Amino acid sequence: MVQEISQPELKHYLFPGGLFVDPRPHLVTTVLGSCISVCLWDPKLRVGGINHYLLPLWNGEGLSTPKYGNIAIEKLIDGMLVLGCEKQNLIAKVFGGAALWKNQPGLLRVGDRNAALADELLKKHNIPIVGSDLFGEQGRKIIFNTETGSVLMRRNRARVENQQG
Amino acid sequence: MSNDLNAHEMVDQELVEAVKQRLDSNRKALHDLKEVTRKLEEINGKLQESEALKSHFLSNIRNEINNPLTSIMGLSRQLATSGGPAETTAAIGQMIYQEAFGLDFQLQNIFIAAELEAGEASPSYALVDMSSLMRTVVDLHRHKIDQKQMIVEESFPADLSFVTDAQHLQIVLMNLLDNALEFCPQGSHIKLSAGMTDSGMMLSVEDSGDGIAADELVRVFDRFRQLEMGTTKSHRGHGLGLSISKALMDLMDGTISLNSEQGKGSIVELFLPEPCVDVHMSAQDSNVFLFDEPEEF
Repeated sequence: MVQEISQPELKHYLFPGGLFVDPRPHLVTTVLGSCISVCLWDPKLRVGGINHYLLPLWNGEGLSTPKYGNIAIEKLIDGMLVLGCEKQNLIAKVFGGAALWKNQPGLLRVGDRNAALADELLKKHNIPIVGSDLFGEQGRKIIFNTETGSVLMRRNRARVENQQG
Repeated sequence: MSNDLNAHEMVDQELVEAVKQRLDSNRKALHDLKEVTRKLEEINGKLQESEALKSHFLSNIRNEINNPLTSIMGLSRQLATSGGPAETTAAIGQMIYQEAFGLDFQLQNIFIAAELEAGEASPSYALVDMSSLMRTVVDLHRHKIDQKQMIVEESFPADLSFVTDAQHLQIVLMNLLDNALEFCPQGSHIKLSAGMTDSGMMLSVEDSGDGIAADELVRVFDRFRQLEMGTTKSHRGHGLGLSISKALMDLMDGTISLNSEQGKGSIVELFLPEPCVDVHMSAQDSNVFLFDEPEEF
């Protein structure tokens, strides 16, 4: 059941490769295929931040943008700390990592590798993952309420093929 | 008896086969491991190089920003004190503008690079008059074009319009034209083209400059990378232009490619797909029919 409480008025649409951290309550929407979004929330300060990365690791090419998981997760944590959060208070919810093509060999499955990276890095920072919905073959749309930390997720009815993000 | 012998031989042969297979798979595993290690070493080298380039950038920024600023201050002071003829005043004014333009351009690049690395840049789409955007880009570089006596050919339909992020695309085109102007010898020919395809828009900037050697081509999109580095480098700038362009094209779901042959010039091609704006823009409210019932986490 979805609770009817007052929703934040501010809305933000997060594009693939983007990062969003803001002290004001927001509803952040993003659409995920093989990408991953990590939602971080601080229950004490009631503020949140979210990323949306496409690939696991930056390989030194081009700019080091949050298109890459290792950059996106570190920058998201940094952003939360800038808001005044303490790392030990943070909790995480992780979404996405769908398989773009069926029967793709293990090493090439970017969704799996994206998800593994989130798990690994959040463990390294001792941030518990309190909710997640990963893998499968369907895209997802999530709406993150940065005030309450709740995430509303809808699974795409169509298969994820050719979908960006 | 001979049957027994045969059976033995069979078993032996099977054993030999099995051992051979194992050895083969071991060899393959070793080969794979070597390959993975080589890739890791390559990436490690690349990351180290990127760090080195970053510190180089920081030490270089002093020259790149201080020099034009010193010129601007010197020239404007001259302007303030000399009551010289109008032509001199105009000439000094033009020099100040050029220095300020260069400085502003570089600072804009640094800011957008920082914005991109922070993940704060997001595209905002609108219907853009491409012809006038491209003409603006050329006009903004007019003083440089005239100074180096370059010929800029504009090859695009007069009424070309496309749904895209005007600001981001302008930064990309500014950088591509600026590169062509900076790295081509005096009097070179530059061609700016644009046109529609079935699935989007193609743009290109073609020059008749010195071109880039094949082994250098792989690095051109790296940040802070200029092909001629060090204290003796003869071109200004931070080596951010192409890495910014690449990141901006990524953001707009487009592609950028650079083809070059030494001595024959370079061509940079951009492709922008028709953006599915309605999906992105209205994703918050509409579009519900495509999705299952919500679940809360």
